[in-house]
Amino acid sequence: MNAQWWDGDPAAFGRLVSQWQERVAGFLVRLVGDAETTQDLTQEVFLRVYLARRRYQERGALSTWLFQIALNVARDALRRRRPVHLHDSEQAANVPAADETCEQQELIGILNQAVALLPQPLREVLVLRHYENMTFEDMSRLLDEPASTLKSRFTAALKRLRLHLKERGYTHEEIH
Amino acid sequence: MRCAEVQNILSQLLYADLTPDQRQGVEEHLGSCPKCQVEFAGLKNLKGLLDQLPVPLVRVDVAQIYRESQMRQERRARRWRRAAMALTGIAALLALAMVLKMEIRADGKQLVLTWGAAAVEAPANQAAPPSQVASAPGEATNEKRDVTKDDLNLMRDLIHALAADADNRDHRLQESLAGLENQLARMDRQAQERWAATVRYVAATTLAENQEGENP
Repeated sequence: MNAQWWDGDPAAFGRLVSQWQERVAGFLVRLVGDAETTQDLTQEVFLRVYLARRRYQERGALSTWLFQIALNVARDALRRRRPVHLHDSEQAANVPAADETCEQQELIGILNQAVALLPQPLREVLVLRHYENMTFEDMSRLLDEPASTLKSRFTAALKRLRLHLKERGYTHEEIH
Repeated sequence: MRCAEVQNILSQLLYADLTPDQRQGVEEHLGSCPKCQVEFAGLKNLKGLLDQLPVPLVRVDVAQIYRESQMRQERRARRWRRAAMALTGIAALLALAMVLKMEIRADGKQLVLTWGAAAVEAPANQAAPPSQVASAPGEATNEKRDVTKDDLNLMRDLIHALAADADNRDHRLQESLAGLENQLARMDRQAQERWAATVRYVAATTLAENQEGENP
C-alpha cells in the first residue's frame, strides 16, 4: 500500500497519513495530555516523516519508526511546556459538570487526569503497551531501555492510576 | 507464589505478557487467593476504562507538509550557498597569502605580520619598516636581557660606524653644495657679461640712429 511514499509519491504519502493520523494523534494526546496541541503535533510528526522519508529502512517496522518520530515530537513538546498542574490537566481532561448521567464520563475525566499526571517514563510505557499494543521487546528497542525495566514501569503506572482513582473515592466495584 | 510476587505481575497476566509457566503459576494462586482476585478485577476494570479515554479528531494537512518541506529545503539551500561563499572567500584569502608569502607569527608579545620573500638579516643600524611590524596595542616590549661586554663593544662599533657614515654623508653634501655655488657664480658672471654686451649694443645702435638723423 505504501509502496512509494518514501520516494515522495504524493498519493502514497497521502494514504500513509490517512492510515496513521488517528493512531499518532491518540499516541500524542495521551503522552502530552493536551488535546489543543494534538493537531499541531500530529502535523509536525508527519512533516518530520516526510522530511526523513529517505532515511526510512523498509526492512524495519514502519510503526516503530513512526512512533519513534512521534515520541521525539512529544518529548520536545513536553520540554517546551510548563509542568502539568492539576488545574491544567483538569482542563485538558474536559471534565464535565457533576451529573448523574455523566458519572462514567466524570470517571474517565479523572482517569485522563491521572494519566496526564504520571511521570513521563511511566506514561510512555503505558501508552505504548496499552494503546499501541507494543511488545516490551519492541518497546525496549524504541526507548533503549531493558524490557524488564519497562515491565516494572508498566506495573507501576497501573498501580498509580488505581491509587489516583482510589484517592478520589472510586473503587474497582464502582468502575463499570 | 506469594501475593506480593503475584501482584507484581498481574498486569502482565492481564496483557498476556507472561510465559506459559508463569501464567500457570499466577492462575493457580489466583484461584485460591481472594485478595489477589480483587486486585486482578480492579486491573481489569482499569483496562476497560483506559480504552474509553477520548481521542481528539485530527486532520493532517498534507499540502501544508509539502509547502513546509519546500520552504525548509530552500532555507537549507540558502545556508549551503552562504557556507560555500564563505569557504570560497577563505580559500581566496589563503591563496593570496600563499602568493604574497605572508607569514604571521607571535614574537614575544608582538604579533608580526610579514610578506614577500624571506627577510635577509636586516642591518643592525636599520630599524624594521613600521608597516611590517605591528605591535599589540598597549603592550610595551619589556624583554629583559643581560648586557654583556660584547654587546657594549658591538654597540660602540655601531655608533662609530653610524658617526663615520654621517661624516661621509656630510662631506659629500658639502662638496655638492660647493659645486652648486660655483655653478651659480659662473652663471651670474655669464649673465653680467651678456647684460653688458646688450647695453653696449643698444648704445651703439642708438648712436648710429642719431648720426643718420643729423646727416640724412
